[in-house]
Amino acid sequence: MRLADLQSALDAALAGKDRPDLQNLVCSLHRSPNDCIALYRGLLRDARARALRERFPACAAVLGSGHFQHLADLYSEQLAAGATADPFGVLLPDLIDGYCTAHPDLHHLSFLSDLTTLEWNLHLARGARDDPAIDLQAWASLPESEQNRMRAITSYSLSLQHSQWPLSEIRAAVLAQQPWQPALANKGGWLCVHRQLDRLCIERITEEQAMILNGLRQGLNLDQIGDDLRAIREQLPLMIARGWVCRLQHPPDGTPSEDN
Amino acid sequence: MSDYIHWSLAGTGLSLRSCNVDEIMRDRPDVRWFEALVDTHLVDGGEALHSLERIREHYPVTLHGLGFALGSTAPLDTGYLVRIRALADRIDASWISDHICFTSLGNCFSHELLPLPYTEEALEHISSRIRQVQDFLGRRILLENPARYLSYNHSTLSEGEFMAEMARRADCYLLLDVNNTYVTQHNLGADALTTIDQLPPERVREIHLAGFEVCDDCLLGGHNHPIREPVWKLYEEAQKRFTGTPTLIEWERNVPELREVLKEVKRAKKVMRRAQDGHRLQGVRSN
Repeated sequence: MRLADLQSALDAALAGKDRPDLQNLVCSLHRSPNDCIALYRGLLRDARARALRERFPACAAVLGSGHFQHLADLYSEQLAAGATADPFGVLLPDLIDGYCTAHPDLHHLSFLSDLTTLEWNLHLARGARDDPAIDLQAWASLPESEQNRMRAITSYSLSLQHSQWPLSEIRAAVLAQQPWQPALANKGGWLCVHRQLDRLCIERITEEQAMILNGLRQGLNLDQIGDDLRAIREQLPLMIARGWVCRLQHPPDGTPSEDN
Repeated sequence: MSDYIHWSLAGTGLSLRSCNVDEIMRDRPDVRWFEALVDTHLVDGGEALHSLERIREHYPVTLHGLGFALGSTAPLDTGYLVRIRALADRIDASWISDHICFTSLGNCFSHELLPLPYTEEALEHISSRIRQVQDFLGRRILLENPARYLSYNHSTLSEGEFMAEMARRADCYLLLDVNNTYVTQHNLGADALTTIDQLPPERVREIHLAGFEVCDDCLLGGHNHPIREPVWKLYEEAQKRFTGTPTLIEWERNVPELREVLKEVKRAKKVMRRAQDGHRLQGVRSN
């Protein structure tokens, strides 16, 4: 059998398909060809579940090992069907909704999809590009009207998430191996996920802060974001101090504003 | 930043695990170098990368890959190679290694290395890909024998013959994983000493030592147990043949306290020193 055919046959066999052509090809001292392939299949299955568990520890703990293994298997099926493999784990937040819907014993875990998205956001924040040091002096030296035309750029690691569930509290309880049910008494709302230096942060933010950060992420400058420019300017120092905003950029044309 | 490490000075190294970084930085253990897994450090920033840079300030670092997929018939992932080259440049890696295998879809994250048949076709295929990768990276790489749980009836070469010829055709170096050789011997009957004997000493630039796992009638590469006695014995033989070859203690999961791992480093160092003494003595006698 040619190398390419052998590899696709083995790939198919590892994905659970019957490949009788491997029967006369595969051998070992102690195991039948099927058992050899089953061994690799099992190792691959365990390894993928382990890799997903590392990225989604709270989701794995809430689901329990049986369900999480099934979810990991579902993930592998998606990969075998041609879904994107990179970055590994990206498909899980989308898979979890359907998985929970299909299993009546999981219907009470309505927050799980949002919790999985939170863990993915944390994973992305963990390896995101480092933010440069912000040049506040250059910004402060501009006239106020110019400052308002500046674009504030959010941290490379930042993501925003809205959920009706108190995700941060649920996650903290799960990872501390405490019951998560009492955490449901808290309220949901907007969360800002980011990394300040090397520390991962999940911070509850206000509607107004979320509106500003969403605007900044869309590339708007300060006077395009909202009507209350003063309120926005008041928020900016805090956003810089928290590491949510990490750069201030001149508008693309670089021309001074009319009132300057 | 500490010096780039040269093969002949390498001594005994240790695989780097994030859980050990603070302790290493605090105690600065007597380890010649650290080997970092490529895939855990292919990030744009953050703790994993910064920890590696902290380690690199005090120790030489080598990179060990799982996702080059050099035996795969799918096209080489040039994006992956670009990122590896950038990482190697960033930390001034002393050398880069990967495995003689092919990988299943998305497998660089699950670390299961699928065995190649040892045929002329596979030999030519992998040698050509290694040459391409080396040209791209601008350096020779090391290729490691994986732990194997199956073989193919149509293989025409032994593992040692395959590795030796691959190293010659691709002009690459070899990484001999003694534990994997032992595991393969148990599972497939390929005599470990013969495999070791068949490797050209001038090409073997690193040795890996790790612990295997017993799974019913089969042994698994594992890297999650202390190094077992038969593997130590085989290592002694390997050091007699490839005296002074840099040796790495490899742990992947169930990583014990650093002081326990350092005991293995110390023992490997002793074996290496004994082989070096024996080598010198032999030289004196023959003079």
